[in-house]
Amino acid sequence: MEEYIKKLLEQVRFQKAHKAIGDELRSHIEDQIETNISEGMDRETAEKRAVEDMGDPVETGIALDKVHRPQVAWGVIVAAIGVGLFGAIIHFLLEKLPSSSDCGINIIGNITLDNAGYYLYNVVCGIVIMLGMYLIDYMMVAKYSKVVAALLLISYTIKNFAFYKRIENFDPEYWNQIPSVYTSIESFFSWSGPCIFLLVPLFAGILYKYKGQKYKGLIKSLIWIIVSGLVATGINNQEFRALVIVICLLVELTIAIEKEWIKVPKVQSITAIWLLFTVIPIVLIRFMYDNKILSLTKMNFVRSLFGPATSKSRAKELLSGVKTFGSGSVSYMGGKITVSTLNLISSRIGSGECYMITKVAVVFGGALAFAIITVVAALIVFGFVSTAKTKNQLGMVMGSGCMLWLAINAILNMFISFGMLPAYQYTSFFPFISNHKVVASYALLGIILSIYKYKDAYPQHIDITIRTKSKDLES
Amino acid sequence: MAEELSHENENNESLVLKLLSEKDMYGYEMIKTLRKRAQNVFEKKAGMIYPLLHGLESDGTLNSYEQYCRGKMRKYYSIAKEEKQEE
Repeated sequence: MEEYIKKLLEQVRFQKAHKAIGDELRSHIEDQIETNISEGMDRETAEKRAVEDMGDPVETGIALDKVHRPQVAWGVIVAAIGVGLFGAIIHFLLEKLPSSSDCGINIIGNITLDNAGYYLYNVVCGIVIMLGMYLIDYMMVAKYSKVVAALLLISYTIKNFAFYKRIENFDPEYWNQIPSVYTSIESFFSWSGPCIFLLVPLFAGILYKYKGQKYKGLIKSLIWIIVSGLVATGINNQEFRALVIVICLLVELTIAIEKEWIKVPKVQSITAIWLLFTVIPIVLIRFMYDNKILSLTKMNFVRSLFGPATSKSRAKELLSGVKTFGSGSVSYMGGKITVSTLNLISSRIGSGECYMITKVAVVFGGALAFAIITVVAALIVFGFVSTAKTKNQLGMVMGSGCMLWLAINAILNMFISFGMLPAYQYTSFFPFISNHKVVASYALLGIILSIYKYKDAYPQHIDITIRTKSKDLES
Repeated sequence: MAEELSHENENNESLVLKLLSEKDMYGYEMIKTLRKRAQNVFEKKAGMIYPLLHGLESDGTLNSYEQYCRGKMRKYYSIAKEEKQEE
């Protein structure tokens, strides 16, 4: 039997598919052996006949090889690279405008780049990371999820602690930084902040490790969510960032419960979890707001969410002059004065990263802004569709979380761009187009490409425990 | 020759789909049922049912799920919902 399976698998070039195919065929042959024995054959003859019944292993193997090939989503790779290059052209053109000549200068190592150059640099890094993620199996992300997530959370906490300590040593009178060990520590762990979004794919792996557990698994998952939320909030008032991450983790947990990874009563648990994470924070914020316990900045933020805010009205003002193609103008004093939107950008929204979509609409016309939104939305929809199609449940949960993170950020950014939400504290971005988080957008798309690649190779469930060689030999 | 093969494949496909329209089954169960009905087109080449099943699963015609049956984890195949609606 094993000889037959070995010969068959030699024809299937995609190694990742071997285990699932081997298990299925072995189970079939074993069933046939049992039937043959029950019909009066001895064990040896039963096995020989069962293998003969299977036919030519080479022919079957070649046929299976045709089905099990790594799937490469070339269309998406080309579209993602195209979006990056197109984004770079837009950044360059925006920079050439006289009104946006006050854009900042960024320095990376010894290379001095303007905003557009910096964006292009990020796109290139993003594409390299995307292809890297595509080549690395997403199972690897899941396998080491707990260790990497813990390392990430600890590093970010240390970085924030060092920041506090550094501030204590800050001399405001001379605006000088007194060199201290805390500056080095903060700098050493500075990578952790931009990587905090990785908690979303990592959490899928953590949840999978709790598969089969009951309330113990649920409680451990909730602790991960709460700790992740608190750590991601950090010290820079990044509540929005933390909120988006927590929503993604909650959705992943919801799917995990629905798929029975965590064996608890589905409806009751899911309802209780969402109530816990919506009602309690809302009541708490309301109480703190009413009793003025919140800091002034946070009080202003809550007020600006629901009431008028300068940034909201400025975005609306600019958008009132948007034409389908090209730049428009905004009228003041009942039409007596008209000002070109090109001249208003700098004074109204400046070089703010949050307003990339507003800028594109104002400078190049609404049609181009709409086209960019459509292409990015198509990439995200592709992500959702391919994760929904994958047989492997871990891939499905991980992919859904990643795409949800991009989708929520894109939607929030559109609300900000169209003047429905204030650009306040939260560094909002439009995936793949804003300079901010462009590398993250590509990295998550890389995970989706990896899930797509193995969509026909991995079975519904797969073992992701970290094994040593000795353990493998034992099993 | 190629035409004959493609015709044979189409026939096998419709046979498998007909079986699965009755109930969800795993590979060996399908072979056993076909044998009982004297329709075993996979006689002496039972392994060839798997490239067919995997191909149908890959193009979305079939879904699969794992379930314990008779003390073993089995890979069951079922017809995808859209296919069922078309029938």
